Amino acid sequence: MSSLTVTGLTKAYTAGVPVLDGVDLHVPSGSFTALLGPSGCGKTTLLRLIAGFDDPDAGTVVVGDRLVAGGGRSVSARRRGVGFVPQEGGLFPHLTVAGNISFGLPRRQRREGSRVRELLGLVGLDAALADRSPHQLSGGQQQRVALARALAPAPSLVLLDEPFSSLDATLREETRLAVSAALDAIGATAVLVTHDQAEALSMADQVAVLRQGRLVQLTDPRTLYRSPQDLDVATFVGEAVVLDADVRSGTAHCALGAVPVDGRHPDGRARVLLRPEQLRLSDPAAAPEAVVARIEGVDFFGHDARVRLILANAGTVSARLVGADLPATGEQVAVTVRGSAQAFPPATTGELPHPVLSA
Amino acid sequence: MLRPRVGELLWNTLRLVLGTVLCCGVLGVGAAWLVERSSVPGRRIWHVLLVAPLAVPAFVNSYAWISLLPGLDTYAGALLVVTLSYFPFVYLPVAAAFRGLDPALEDTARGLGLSTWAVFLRVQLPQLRIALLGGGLLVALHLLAEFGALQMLRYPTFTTAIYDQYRATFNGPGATMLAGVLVMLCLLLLLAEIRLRGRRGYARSGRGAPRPVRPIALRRLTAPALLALGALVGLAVAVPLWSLGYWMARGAASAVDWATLATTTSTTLGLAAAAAVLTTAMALPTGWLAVRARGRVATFLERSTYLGSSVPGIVVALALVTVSIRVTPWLYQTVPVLLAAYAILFLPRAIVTVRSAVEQAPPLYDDVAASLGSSAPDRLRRITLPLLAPGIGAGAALVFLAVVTELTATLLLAPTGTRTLATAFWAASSAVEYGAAAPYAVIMVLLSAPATVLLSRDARRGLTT
Repeated sequence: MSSLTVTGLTKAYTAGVPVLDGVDLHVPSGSFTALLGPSGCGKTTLLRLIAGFDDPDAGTVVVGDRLVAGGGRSVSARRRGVGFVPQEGGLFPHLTVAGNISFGLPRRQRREGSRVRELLGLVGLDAALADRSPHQLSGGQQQRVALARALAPAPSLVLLDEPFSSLDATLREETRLAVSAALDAIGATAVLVTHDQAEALSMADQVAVLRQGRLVQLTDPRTLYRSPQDLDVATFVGEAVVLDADVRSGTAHCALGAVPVDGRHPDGRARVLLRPEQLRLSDPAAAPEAVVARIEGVDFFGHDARVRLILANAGTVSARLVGADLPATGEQVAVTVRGSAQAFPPATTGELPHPVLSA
Repeated sequence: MLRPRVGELLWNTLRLVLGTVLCCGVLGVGAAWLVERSSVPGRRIWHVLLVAPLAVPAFVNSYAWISLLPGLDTYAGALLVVTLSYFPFVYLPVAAAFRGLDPALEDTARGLGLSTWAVFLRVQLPQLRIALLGGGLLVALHLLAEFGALQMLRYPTFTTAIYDQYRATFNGPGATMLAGVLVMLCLLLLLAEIRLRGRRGYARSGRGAPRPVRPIALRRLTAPALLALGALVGLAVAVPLWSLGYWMARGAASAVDWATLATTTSTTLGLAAAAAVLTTAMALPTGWLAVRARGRVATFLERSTYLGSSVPGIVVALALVTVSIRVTPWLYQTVPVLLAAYAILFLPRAIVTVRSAVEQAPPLYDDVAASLGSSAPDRLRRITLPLLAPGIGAGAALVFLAVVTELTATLLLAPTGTRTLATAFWAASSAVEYGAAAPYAVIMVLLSAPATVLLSRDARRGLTT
């Protein structure tokens, strides 16, 4: 497997409206990168340019040490050795599972069943499926066959275009694990396009956040979650508690009291980011000096719960609680903060970004 | 001298077109409602029976009626016969549209207190408008082109008058002038059709009804509904079949010429096969471009072929006669000219099926195959052609069956001595030898039956275009 380096990639389908605007991206050999962004941010276009289905207006794509696009060169898709797993699998409907998987193999290897069985095993499917038609498979099985098909000719790079978005929740988890395991087993270099932050954070070695055709941040999942580039990224990759604060010598004074700030931040006005799971609730009688909030409502999810809190004069924030001991609506609770906050420059208009309540 | 004649023909043609479209509309929508939305027993069987009239070519239906009731050579007679032949053109798209309607809308309307009749008028009919108009236009276009059925009923319209002029004076200016008026009428309808076609996408966007339809209980009206459907099917299917059987029996007594019948059949099948191959080959690039390279040129190419479906066979034939006599006399009355006429007339049918096949083979498969290292010719062989094969086959079959029952162009263009089932039937029945004509008609009906079954199953596919 090879590394992938994208430099200054630009593409516009209508003049003056760039879909991609100078994207730089490096994917080390054998690593798994997720391209994360809302729909319409250009992530699928980036994938198509890497695969060679479209040509960029400017910029270069290098696979391994081979320049495949840009600088007046355009290697056709079929000579790039880049595997592609489309949305919904895109299995050839007129071929069996075996026919699909062996499609990219040289003629002689197509007839031998051994490579097909090997690949079916790799993606965790029963070899008995080899003679089935695509329409006889479940959605998750189709995705795994599509991955096996892409891996069959031993590509130098695999691209996955939102492969799990059409699957229901349980099947999605199972298919994700099988795909991760298969990619790990052969040490594949893989790029996954997704708009699902949980998928990006859980599967990838590094996450590239795209916004309006530009790469905003490229880092590992933990850093992305803990130290996002800006508040937009912060709210996109997870639920956030954003509060106005006054920073004085490394401590932010906000509606939740004094919270230590990560890294260096100049003294003065700022907005601080906390994650809902950093908030702790307790009995106000037991913690007389803590900030008191009223419970607006509780959303119970089973594995945990979101508690919506009304602060005295700072609006509503959310806390994530684990366990069965949940407060009731209308109750007064004491709120304390665990860990530290991230500080960002104050809002120019004085408005906070809308609180994002989606999980 | 021609002026009053043109006026008379115009009046004859227009009142027949209007009357037929109205009758077909009422019969088609009524039958479709009964089959798709009511509790009438045997809905599946009725559906097949209501499509079955398409297996009997209009001129055979006309022969079946006039040979039994010679007094049918009036406006009412013509209206009866062509309505019975053409109402499936409205029934099929309307039934398909009914199936695509979301029953939740009807339930909601009923929940708001609307009666069944009010639901039909205010909820269903507006949604069926495009299917109904499309079907009506199809009936009108077919009627403007209809020659055999109306000639047999001695009801003069533009098409029959052009034929008579041509036979009497051989390519006189009279025939050309009449043809000009006819083409104008057809083009008007074609424009209307194109505007409808453009809007059809909206009508279909809500299809795929998520819930099964709960049929309206007819209760005491069940018997009248059954009686009405029975009468319609009886008149449209049973009468012609019974008539054919009757004349077969009579003809068998006066000895059928089996050898001639066999040669005629094989000539017809050969011509139909050649036309199917030629037309489908021509349809492939156009259908492909219309989907994959959407643009002005591709759209223009595709739309221009639809001219063929709206210009009557007699006009196409007349044009080819003129061109081949003037420009290529050595081609006049040869098989290539005849095949060219078939290709012009039936290209739209092939294009529609090829096109829908291309739409079902998205470019994604091509991309994936390319990323697996497959070259362009390799992709054509391993992906594109296998995916298109069913569509290509269906298109070829439709053309094949259309040629088997084609009468007008074949009469004018077939090389001397070449007889097809339709022209042999025509010769015999024009000479009032009904018994001798019957076997040819029976073979045509038998050959058309499979296409009819195909249509009744896949009601969403366009009928002739």
